Amino acid sequence: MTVSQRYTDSYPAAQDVLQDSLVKILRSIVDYKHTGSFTAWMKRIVINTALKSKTRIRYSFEHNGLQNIDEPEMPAEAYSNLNAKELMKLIDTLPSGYREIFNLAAIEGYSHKEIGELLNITPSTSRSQLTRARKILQDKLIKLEKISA
Amino acid sequence: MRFDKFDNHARKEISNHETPLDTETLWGKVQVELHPKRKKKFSWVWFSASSFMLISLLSGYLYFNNSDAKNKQLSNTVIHESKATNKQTPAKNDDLAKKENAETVMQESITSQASINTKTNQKETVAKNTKSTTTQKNTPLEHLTNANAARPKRSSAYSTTNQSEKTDIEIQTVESKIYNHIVASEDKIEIKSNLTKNKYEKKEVEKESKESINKKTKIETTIIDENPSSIEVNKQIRSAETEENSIVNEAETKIETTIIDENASFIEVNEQIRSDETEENLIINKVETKINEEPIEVDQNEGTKEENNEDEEDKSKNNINKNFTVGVGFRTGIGNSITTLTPNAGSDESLRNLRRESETNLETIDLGIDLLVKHKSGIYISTGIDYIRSSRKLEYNIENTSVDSIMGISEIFVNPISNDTTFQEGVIARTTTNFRNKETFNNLHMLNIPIQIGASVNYNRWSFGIQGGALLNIALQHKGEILESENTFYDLKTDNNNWFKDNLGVSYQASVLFGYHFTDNFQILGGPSYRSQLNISSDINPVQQMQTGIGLQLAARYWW
Repeated sequence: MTVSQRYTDSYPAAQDVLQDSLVKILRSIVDYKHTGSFTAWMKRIVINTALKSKTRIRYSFEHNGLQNIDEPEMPAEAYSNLNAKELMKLIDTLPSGYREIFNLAAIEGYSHKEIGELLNITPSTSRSQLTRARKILQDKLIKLEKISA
Repeated sequence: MRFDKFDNHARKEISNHETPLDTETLWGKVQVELHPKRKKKFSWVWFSASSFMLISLLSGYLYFNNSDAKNKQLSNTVIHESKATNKQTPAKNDDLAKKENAETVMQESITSQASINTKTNQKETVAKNTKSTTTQKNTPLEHLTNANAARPKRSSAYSTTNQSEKTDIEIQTVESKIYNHIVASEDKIEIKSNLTKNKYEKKEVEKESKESINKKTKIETTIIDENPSSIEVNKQIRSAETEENSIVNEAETKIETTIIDENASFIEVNEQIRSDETEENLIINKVETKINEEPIEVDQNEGTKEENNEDEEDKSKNNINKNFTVGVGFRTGIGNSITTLTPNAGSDESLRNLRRESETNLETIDLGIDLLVKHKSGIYISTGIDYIRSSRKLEYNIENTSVDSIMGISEIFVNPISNDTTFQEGVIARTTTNFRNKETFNNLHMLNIPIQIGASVNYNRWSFGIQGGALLNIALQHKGEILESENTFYDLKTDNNNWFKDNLGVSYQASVLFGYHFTDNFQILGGPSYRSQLNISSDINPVQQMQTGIGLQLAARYWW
């Protein structure tokens, strides 16, 4: 449920995804080849189902000419006190496309090549989206820190 | 990496986190999806197959009965004729044999009568008895002669040679009359039946005469036994009678020859009748019908119940044949399949709109073979096999924009004093937009068993009719692609999500047909047709797709 929730916009949508995923898992369990972790296999099905369940977003960004993307700095004191729920809420605030890539790359540990194949984008796009997602998260964490301070 | 710590922290926290979930409700939903209420596909298949078999068998039965009945009619005629041919000779041979026996006895009685009349007054009583017996015989013989000339020799056998000649003339007259009747083809059968009736009457007379002769012989024997004294006289009488006997024998032989000749001429007459009948086929058909309606029992042994039953069966079969005709037909049609797309309950309209924009209707082709059974009233039932291909076209322009990062000039600094320009290198974003035009044809193949009822009325060679019924779907196949989302396509053949039905069950079809009979059996028909709305999507398909068929049909039918 946690996995499906990360890739959907709402709790009911996450439930639907989980339901579809379970059906797929049960139907294709005979095809499972025991080559890797069973949990990872199930997680992959949930992620695939979640990604396919919604209309694909267009990775279109408005840029004013050339844009500099720097790796943002993340202050450790800003996030170390955040628990899972708060972290998930924070990630949920990301725009849908960024959130997917952040979840896939940072949480699931997918490579940019794998993400590119999953989302039908190039690895470099995935990389840049991840950077932007991190930048947004950084801004939010700084804001949170300022507020709490 | 500066972000590694945050990623690790987030991964650790989130991975261990569990969102509360109502597992029972979820499992219930999963179970429903795992075991969806499958349409009773097999029952439809069995129902379709059994209906098809039933109607095919019925049609086959009627068709083969039709041919059997026709063959039987013909063979019956042949059998009747052959029986008549075969029987006439043996019947007449039998008659001859009987005649021989009867005449031998008659010779004796005549001899006795003559001797009694001429030589012995004591025999007056016997002579009277004999005469009376002879008179008894003459009465039916005369009746027979009057009735028809079939047995004129009978009288000649009991009369003199002059009488025989007379009878010959009568026979010839009757024969010529018969021949004249034969020429008038409609009366042939009557003549035949009259002749045969006479034969029966003749047989009866022969029987009666035989019996009376036996009686007479008995009486004579008794008289002789009662008068032993007259034995000698009788001996003398017999010796005298021997001469007379030889004369009588000669006369009888002549009579026999005449009888045989007459029989031969009868056979000739019959052969003549048959040859005439062969030439006049149309009249023969009428006559055959009459024969079937009024079976000529006279050709067979009297009271042959089996043949009566056969005739009755023939009658009933004829009635079936008259009431029903069997036909086969080939049908083709072309039309447009009107497709309606509606979002499923709980689904948004985005996918429906995408599909509406990307898909267009093409033609629907219909091919079929029909087996028909038609009642004389014009109402018919048909079944067969029906193939429908409904086509649609997907045309979609994909605009795929991607953004990635590359190294490039990120900043440009210009010194306002020296106007020197410095380029700062760094990561820059690159936006790539790909345009792709996708074009594919989607085909829906259906195999159905149509069960239809129709009615038609004929005006000369033209016909007008309506027909309607059910199409029982036995196979369904999708091919092609549709949009699954904005950028992804769904393969209809693999149908991974089970979005489409495996079987459509029953749909309904109606058509109006205008026809033209090129021959009595061959007919061409055409007219508009309508196929009821069919939902080809399963319940889980986010877009419900319904199709209605409207088109034109062209059919060719051959009736037996």
